[in-house]
Amino acid sequence: MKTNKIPYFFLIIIILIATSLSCNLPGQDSPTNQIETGLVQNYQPAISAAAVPKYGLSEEQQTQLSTNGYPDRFTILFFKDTLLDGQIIDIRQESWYYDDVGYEIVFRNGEKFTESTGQPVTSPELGKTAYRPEDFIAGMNLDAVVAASEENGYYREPTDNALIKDGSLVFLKGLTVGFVGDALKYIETLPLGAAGDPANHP
Amino acid sequence: MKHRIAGILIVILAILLPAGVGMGQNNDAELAREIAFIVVADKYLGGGNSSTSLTLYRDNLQDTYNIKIDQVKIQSGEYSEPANLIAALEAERDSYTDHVNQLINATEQANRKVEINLIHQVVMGGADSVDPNAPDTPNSAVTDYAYSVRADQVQQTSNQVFDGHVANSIPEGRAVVNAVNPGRYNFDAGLAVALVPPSVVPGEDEVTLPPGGDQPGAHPPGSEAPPAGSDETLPPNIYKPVRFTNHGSVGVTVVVESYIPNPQVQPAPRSDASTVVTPITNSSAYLSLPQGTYTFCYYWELEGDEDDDGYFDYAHKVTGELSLNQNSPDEVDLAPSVALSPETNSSPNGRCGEGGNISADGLTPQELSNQGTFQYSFVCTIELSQDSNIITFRFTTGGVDVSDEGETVLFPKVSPNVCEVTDEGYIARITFTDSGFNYHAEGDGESDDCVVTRQ
Repeated sequence: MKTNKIPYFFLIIIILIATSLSCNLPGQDSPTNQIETGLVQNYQPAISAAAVPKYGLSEEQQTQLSTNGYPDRFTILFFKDTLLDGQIIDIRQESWYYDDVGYEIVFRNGEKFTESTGQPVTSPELGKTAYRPEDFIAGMNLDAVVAASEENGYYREPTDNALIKDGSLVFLKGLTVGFVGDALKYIETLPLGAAGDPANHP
Repeated sequence: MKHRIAGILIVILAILLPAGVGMGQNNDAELAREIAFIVVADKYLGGGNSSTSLTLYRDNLQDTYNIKIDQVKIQSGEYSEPANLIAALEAERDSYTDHVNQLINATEQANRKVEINLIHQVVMGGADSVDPNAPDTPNSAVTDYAYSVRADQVQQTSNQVFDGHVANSIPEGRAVVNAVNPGRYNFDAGLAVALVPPSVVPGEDEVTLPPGGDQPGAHPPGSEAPPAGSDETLPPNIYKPVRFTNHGSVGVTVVVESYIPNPQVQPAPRSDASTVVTPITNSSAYLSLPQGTYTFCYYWELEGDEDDDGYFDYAHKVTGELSLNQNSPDEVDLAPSVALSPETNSSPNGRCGEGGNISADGLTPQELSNQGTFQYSFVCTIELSQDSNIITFRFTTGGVDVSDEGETVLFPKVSPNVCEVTDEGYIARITFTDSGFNYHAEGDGESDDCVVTRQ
């Protein structure tokens, strides 16, 4: 049986145009948990925190935890890079900060990439994050991030399209999160105020 | 079938979504974009503007490259090919600079009001703690943190990302990064985990979160997917090495010209990899490619300037077919070798993909040969069966109108032989060849490649 490729595209274009128009009709209810922009309160994720997959920490990371405990704060970047032979690799780069001693350790896909020691880091109301690096995995969606954070709301701000195509920044208690589409690309903990006191966080 | 639908949707979404998006970002620009979040967040946490943050980001990037370039110039004897290394570093520096400058320009044109006070309340105490009537001023604890701690953190993280990139992506990159930052990095960190062939690593967008899905500890430590060699889900290695031997007197750059996947294995996207092959065979003169049948294009610089336009002239050639299958060696030393024969006295016909002479209409021979209505047969990575279809290509000043069964879509031209529709992370690309065209679609973690032959 022959399959026409490009005609299928056109056919579904027409269907989608019609669908997109109907979605904009006034009075039509928004689906539950549709991604909203701006301040969103009383949000109930479709999944529970327990159902969110977690990252498996490497042996080096577990050794670090047993030595120094969980970091005071951390960032995780998910990106792609190209090797000399042209292969494209996925990198999860985690920076763990221990502010009391000014120590930073950076992992790439769970292996120590670099470390540095400087002056202790201080800033008004800076505390210790209640989040853990293993709470977040590449590509998880907003619903999963909210579930993992055990928060009930967020503030979502789309980025300029020319800046980060289809990107958005989402702010939760003690967290800044970057998405491209609905896929997690960046996590930064902000242990400030109530978010810097683990006792105030689930 | 799931993949086929995804492939179709990729194209549809690309066409439906608003136009005006930049095209053909290279991997370098992509890397700068992927880590731009850490910079953009400054606008909301620091209360400043992204333009200023991006300017600092750009200047820091330039500095990190300039330091490396200076190091190579001063210690040139430490490198086997210092000129090439400097050229590669300068090219990347300029590419990033151009890209970040575009971001700065875009940001300066955007004046959307951001409710920073609400964001600061959310960050400090959670969304449910927000008082919409709170004063419209930033919280000083957040802004102090942004300026006193976070600014350094952003630059440091950016440096680490790009040091890692130079070390692993540029020949002799490790030497120069190590010379500037002795012993600071473990360059191999994470590569073994990351080098799972892309076709079997669950795409980031493919992570699904059904109730009762992946449980904590389901994957081995340090990974989000089964590692290479695991018995859990991985098929045999579908990637095989190909070596290249240069029998000429000048270096060439080799790219894949055509690719038909091996139907016996899990299909993989066409490789965009290239490699430089010098007359004295260099150790990196190979490509690791998904199993399939290939031809390769290679191009080189000519000595003269035949058209006297002040630019180097180039010539290219296409090799014969080579097949890689399950029985092909996995070791580079034993890999099949493709002979390359560049000739410095060749007539210029451009680099690969640039076609040869341009017609009076501005069309390449490959475009001209496809202009009109023809029947085409498709062989695709997602659907391996042979299909055929009648398509009309009508070239215009802006690109090519692609018509089928009364419907027409404009694919804007991005370079000779290449027309592309792209938006919101979705790309559909047609690359015209002598025998038809190659079709590539990607987005949302899915991709499809077709070799399409004119009947």
